Parts: sequence; structure tokens; C-alpha cells
Amino acid sequence: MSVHAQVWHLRVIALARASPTGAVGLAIMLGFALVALLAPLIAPYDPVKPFTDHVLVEPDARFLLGTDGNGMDVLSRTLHGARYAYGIAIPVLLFGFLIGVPIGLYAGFRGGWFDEITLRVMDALRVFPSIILALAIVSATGQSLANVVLVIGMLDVPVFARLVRAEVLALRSSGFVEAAINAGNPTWRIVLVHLFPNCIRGAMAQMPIRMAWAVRVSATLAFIGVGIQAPTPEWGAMIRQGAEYMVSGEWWVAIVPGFALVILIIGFSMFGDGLEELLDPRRNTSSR
Amino acid sequence: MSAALQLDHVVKHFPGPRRGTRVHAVNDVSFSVAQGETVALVGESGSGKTTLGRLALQLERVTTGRVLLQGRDITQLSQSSLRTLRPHMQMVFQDPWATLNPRMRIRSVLEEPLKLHSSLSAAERQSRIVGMADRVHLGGGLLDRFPAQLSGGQLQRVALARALMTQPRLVVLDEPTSSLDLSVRAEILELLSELRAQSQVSYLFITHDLGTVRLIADRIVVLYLGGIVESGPTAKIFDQPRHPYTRALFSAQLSTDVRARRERVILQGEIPSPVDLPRGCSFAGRCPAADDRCRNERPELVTESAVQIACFKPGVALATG
Amino acid sequence: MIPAETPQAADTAMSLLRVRDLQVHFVARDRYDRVRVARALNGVDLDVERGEIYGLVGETGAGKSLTAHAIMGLLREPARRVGGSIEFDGRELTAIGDDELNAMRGDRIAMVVQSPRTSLDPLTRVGEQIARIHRVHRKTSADEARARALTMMQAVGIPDPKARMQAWPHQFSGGMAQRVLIAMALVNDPQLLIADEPSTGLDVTVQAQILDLLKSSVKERQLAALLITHDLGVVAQVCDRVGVMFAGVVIESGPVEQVFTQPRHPYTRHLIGSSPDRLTLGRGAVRAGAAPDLYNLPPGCPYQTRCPHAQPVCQGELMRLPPGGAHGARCHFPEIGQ
Repeated sequence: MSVHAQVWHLRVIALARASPTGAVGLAIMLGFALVALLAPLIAPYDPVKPFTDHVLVEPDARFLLGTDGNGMDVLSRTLHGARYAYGIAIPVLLFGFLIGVPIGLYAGFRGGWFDEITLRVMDALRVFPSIILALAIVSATGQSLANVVLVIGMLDVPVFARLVRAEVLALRSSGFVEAAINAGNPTWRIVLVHLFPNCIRGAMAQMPIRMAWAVRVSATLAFIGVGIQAPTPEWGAMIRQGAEYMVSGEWWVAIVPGFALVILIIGFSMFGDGLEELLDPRRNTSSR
Repeated sequence: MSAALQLDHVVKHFPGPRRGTRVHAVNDVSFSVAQGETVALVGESGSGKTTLGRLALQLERVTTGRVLLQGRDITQLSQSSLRTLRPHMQMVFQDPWATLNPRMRIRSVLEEPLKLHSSLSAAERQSRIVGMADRVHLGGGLLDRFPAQLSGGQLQRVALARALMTQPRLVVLDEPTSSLDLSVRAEILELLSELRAQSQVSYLFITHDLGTVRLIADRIVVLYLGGIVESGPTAKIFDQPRHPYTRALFSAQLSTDVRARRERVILQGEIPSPVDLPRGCSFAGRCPAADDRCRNERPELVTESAVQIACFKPGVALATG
Repeated sequence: MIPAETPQAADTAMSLLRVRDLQVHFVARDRYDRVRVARALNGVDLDVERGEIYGLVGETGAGKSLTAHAIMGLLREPARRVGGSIEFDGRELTAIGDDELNAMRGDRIAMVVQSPRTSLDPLTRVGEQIARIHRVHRKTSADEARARALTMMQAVGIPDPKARMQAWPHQFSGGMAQRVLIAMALVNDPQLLIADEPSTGLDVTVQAQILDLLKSSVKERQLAALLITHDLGVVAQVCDRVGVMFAGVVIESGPVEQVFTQPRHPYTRHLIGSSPDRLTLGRGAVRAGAAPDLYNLPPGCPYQTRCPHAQPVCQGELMRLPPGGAHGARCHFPEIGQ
């Protein structure tokens, strides 16, 4: 193994050792991501093809995880569900981050009325029960994937904004922002070159948590009947359909997607925890 | 040639802790720094020295009064106009760790002022950077490191280098050696002394440590509760301080000469609050020689043979302990 | 009491605090998960007698505060004591259990720290904080403790003590808060007082007052005091004996006057020479040298990498300091550079 590869090898092991939680979480995330990418290739059947004479079949050799009320293969649908999970989580995250971070940076740096107003708006958004809000908006604007992403993304904005704003405020009082002003930096440079790279730690640690939340909310919405609906192979929608059959004994219809949902969310959360541990600045004092 | 820096009856108030109160940080201070001169602003906490340093660079705005940079009044300028003047007036802060962007390499830190204020090519900038690193005795290998990898002394050199990159006329140093170890402090003072000899840059050196003042300041301005109590050439003030506060300050310095007899001027109490300025002389409450006149009348700053002093009884005999 | 037959016995009988060969390591894992050991204290020797102030001086990283914490039994992972003895009033502190050490802290051994504002409990009135310490260790009644606290506040020179007992910490200035900390340290008549940078951060005029207070308290109560500082002026004017630390070793110690007028270790000379009131600029050759790398100390003398007079013999075992508190340096060539 080349020296370079050896160093990386050691680094990975060290990181995994330092945060086993994070390592497991990452493994789960990557596993599901792989599934999401390869779903069309590895799924045995077309997820929306109804096998009308094989409705509600128990898991067997042909349908490894059974079929649902429409005769669609549960395994294939679950695998494709990962695409929806990521397909929602990632855009939501980008939306929240790309809008929330600049707002937080500017509000924290400038202060004044912009800060006051954004603070109030952000607080209002956070205080409102998010599910209800999402429900209301999606119902009003139409049940589409795009709308769901937009709404959940919007709810993410205050989280990032507040986080970044807090970091900016801390930096402002430490003195190097003043030094940057003193050097003659225009505002945009201070924000971009000086503030942003130093505020990003906290925001990055939040990312997996927000992704977990996005997946959960969209599933919840689908479960309630808002947003994505059958026959789309989204886990929430699948659970909604499967809920009917729990009592009559066809457990696999709801349990399988439910299981996938739970594992992925736990994976995100574990990775988020691990990331927080690793990014904790106190750790770095022991090295070097 | 006009003075590098001139403060004219500068007053600075901050809003106080309760509504309607004010913190009188600076009260009618006037002094100037000639081109090529090093002036030390000396005082303890509450003296207003840090605020004065910030006012000089307009990092704070004055409440009333004027600040003149090379004869030009900068108190009324907008932020963008001030930005164009920044290359001429720079500051070195007390805590080097806090004032350098931890994510920027030293090279970029030094390059920034040039990028912002000059039209040099990249190659020219790099050669200036190397030249400056040399002047402050910073090894070339350190240029590509991050601040976290440098020691306090090295970081303070970087801060100095950064301040000097644009060849300013005035550099304000706010307690630049206070957070450094003894031997590192000596190095930095040595460096400052070298730099002073090399060019006509004016330095405003803010400190509470008289020991360092003796080594590098041409003139010293002693502050108490936002006002000047005594000022003059360093040698003269050190030789014969006349204001009771200056004398108390000097006598409180702990010398490493074990055999020096310490004749301390004992001060009672502590510095009064800058929110409620006492009537009369601001030092009267603690002065061992204060009388009724001191407590009711405010002494004016009077000039006698190059020394300015604000006291009704300069040179009075003081009880020592 | 042990009769003074041999110099050793006399030495032991007098010193209230006797630290010998104290070694402390910091053990941690770096980002590649390798074990890294920082040798923070490498054989610290010091003695403090009753009624004297011993100044422990050095720059950042020398190990002064760490020594104090080790003496108080306050070391926490990743710091570990890996060798040496700490004898207090004849008892070996390293062999005592946590409970007993707890009982001694605040009672027989007291510490005064820097930054008084952050060391005081912001939610408890000042008088109560002093009384509390007395009550806990001496099991007195609340009234007795309060009376004692009032006495202490007077003793440390806080004006209008009766009223100030009821004040909150944030209402005190830096200097006054430091006096409160001193009162808290002295309330149970300790035998040993450790003051860690007690005047740093305070105004110069206030600093002088605090140091005067410490000095008079030590003389009046015949305490043994260990004063930790980085300020040579403080040592010269306040302390009776001094120990100069570098890279976890007391490299020179002795009566203050002797050490300052005739330093025997190159580092001591360098330190004294760097003091602003001794410094003459323009000589060009003021170079501090790199701070010692505690992860990679050379064998033998830790100063050899910076010492202009280093010889191969310096890599051998460091010599010991002379007994009985006489002036001495852990250097093979104490006369060079005089």
C-alpha cells in the first residue's frame, strides 16, 4: 500500500474508533444511498407493476417481501423508496442551507433592523408546529413532490439561519472581524472570506439531522394523505396503505417500509451525532 | 508637516447600564502624535486608553471632538471613505489568537491588505510578503501555516507585519505584549524598536505596563478615568513624575531589582465608576493629598516646560508606605 | 518532632511542604489514534517552610499551575502523576484517599486563583460563600460561620464589611473579588496557601495592594505560601525564596536575593535579562528560542536545545538541587556567563 493510502487507512480507522456511532451511521447512509442509486438495477420487479393475481401474497420465493394490496412487489417498492427518501432529503437540505446560511450570516453581522426582523420571522416559523404548517401549505398549493420539498425546505431555513447567526455573533466579539474591518475589507468579503468558513462547522453537523427530519416529515405527510400518494413507492405512502392490513394480518405491507424508514433515520441521526463529536473543537487540543 | 494623528477635545460616551445613564469613557482629551514619533497611552482599567485607540482609527465614532489624520478630519467620513484611508492607519490588537482568521494561511493574511488596497500583480505581492516576513524575522516556512500552528510571539509578528503591509503612517498597538511570555515580550519590543528606527511610521502604544513604555516611547500620556492627568517626554516623566496618580502608578511597579527600596504611594479605594463622574478632580477620591479645592474644582491641563499636568498640587509630598 | 541529628532530618522536620521528583504526564490519542505522551512535569523538587513565601516562576507551559494542582490532588485525566512524592506536614499526600484529600482542601491547604470573578459562585451572596467553607470543614453553626466570615472580610480589608457580606459577586470589582477569594482561602486557618497568579489581570495599583495583603497574611499567620506567577517583579518584591521552572523542572531555586543577583542557570539569566526593567534594546540578539516540545524532550537537561553552552554531559542525568533550600541550579556549568 502506498504511503498515502496507508495514511488514509489509518485516518479512517482512527475516525471510526473515535466515533463508532458516526461510523455505523455513515455506513447505513451510504448503504441506502447505494440502494437508491441502483434500485432500478437490483429491484426484481417494476415497483408500480401490479400483479393482479398475486395480491397480498405473503413473503415467499417469488416475492421475497410479499406484495401489497395492488399486487405490487413490496421489496421492489421499498428499494425504490430509498430514491424518494434521498430525493426529498437532499433538495430540502440544499434549500434550507443555501437560503438559511446567507440569512444567518448577514443578520448576525449587520445586526440592526434586518436582524430583528429576520429573528422574529424565523422564530415564528419555528414555533409553528411544522407538520400542521406543512399540511396546510401543501393542501393549499397542490399535492406534488416539488411542493413537499419546497415546504419542508422552507421550514429548515430558520434552523440554519439561527445556528449561523449565533456563530457569527460569537466571532464578532472575538475580535478578528474587527481586525478584518480594520484592514479595510468590504462587507461582502468579510462575510464570505472571514465569517463563512468559520461558521460552517455547526451548520455541517446539523445536516444529517435535518436530512433525517426531512425524511420523517415527508413520510408523515404522506401517511396523513398529503403530498405524495400511492402508487408512488414512497415509504410514507406505503405505510399508509399497509396500515389497513395490519389488523387483518398482512403485516409485511406496512412493516417493511416502516423498518426501512426507521433504519435510515437512525442512520442519519447516528452520523449526525458522530459528526458533532468529531467536529467538537475541544478534541483537537489533544492532537498535534 | 502636520502631525500624523491629532485628537482635539475628544469626548466619548457610551449608553450606561441603566436607562438614562452614560458611561463617560473619554472626557475632553486632546493630544497629538508627530510624524515618526512613538507615544504611549498609559492607564489602568477605566482610563479610556483602549477607547482612545479605537477612536483614533474610527473603529468607534466620537461623541464630540475631532480626530485628524495627517491634518484631515476623519470623524465625519462615511464608512466607505474610511475604508480608503485604512491603508494609512492600522492597528495591532492585544490577543493575536483572536484577531487572525483561523482558516486563513499566514500568506493569505499578509496578502489581504495588498489585495484590497493596491494594484500590485500577484508576483509583486508575493515578493512584498516575503520581504515583510523578513523584516519581522518570521521564517519563510511559516508563511504556509495556519495560525493555530504558530506561537503567540510569532502570531504577534504576523499581526505587526499585516499592519505594516500597506506602509501606514500611523499604527496603533493595543497592549501588544500583554498576553505574551516574558522572553517573547522582549523579542517583540526589540522588533518594534528596530522598526521604529527604520521608518517614519508613528506609533500609538497603549499599555498599562510602564516597563515597556520606558523602552520604546518618546512621549507618554497618562490617563485616569477618561482624562489626561500628565503627559510629556518619557525621560522627563520617568525621572520626575509630578501628578500624584502618576507617582502612585510608578511606585506600584514591581522591579526585579531585589535591593530597590520600594516607597509606595498608598492609594485608598478603587477607581470610581465612569458612570458617575465625581465632581472636581477625578482622582481626588483616592489621592492622599486631596483637599476641598481638589474635590470641588476640576484642574485644567496646564503646560510647564514640555510637560502637561492636570493637578492643583503637582509635586506635592506624598505619604509613602 | 524528629530531633535534628542529620541535615536530612532537619530538612524534613522544618519543611511544611516537601515535593520530590514529581512527574506528571499527559496521555492522549492524536488524530491517527496513536498514543502521545506529553511529559509535563519531569522531576519537580521544592520545599516551602512556614512563614515564607516561595515563588514558583516560569513561562507558559513550564508546569507551574500543574504543580499546584498536583499538590492539591486535583489532577484529572488525561493528566496522570507517574512518579514522585508530595509530603505535607510529614504525611505523604500521594498515598491518601480522595476523601481525606477533600477534607484537607479548603481547610489545611487552600488555593487562591486568578480571575476571581469566574471563581465565585454568581448565585450566592459573598458572605455566605465564605461562611459556607467554614461551616463545611469545621461543622460550626450558621451563626458562628457568619461571624467568622465577617471577621475574615475585615481581615482582608474590605471596606464596610457588614454591608458587603450581603453583596453579590458581580457587585465587586476585580480587586475586591480577589480579596474575597483570599478571605475564603484563609477562613479555616490553613497551613499552606497556594496562590496561582493571584494578581494577574488586576490593575497595577490594585495588584500591589493584593500582594501586600498576601504578604502580611503569611507573616501574621505563619503560613507556608506557594506563589505562582510569570512576573519576575512580583517574585523579587514579594517572595522570600524562588524556584524557576522550565519544561516541568525547577531548574534553579534559592533565596530571592541570591537568585536574582547571581543567577546560576542560563535560563534564569535569560529570563531576568528579558524583564522590561532590565532590558536594553538595540543589542539585536534578543531571541527567545522555541518553547520546549513536551512530547519530545531531550534526555537530561530540557534546556540544552536552546542553551548556548550545551555539552554532551548535559544529556546525562540532571543533577539534584542542594538540600535545605540553599541557592542552587540544576546545571553542570553554573558559573558560565557570570
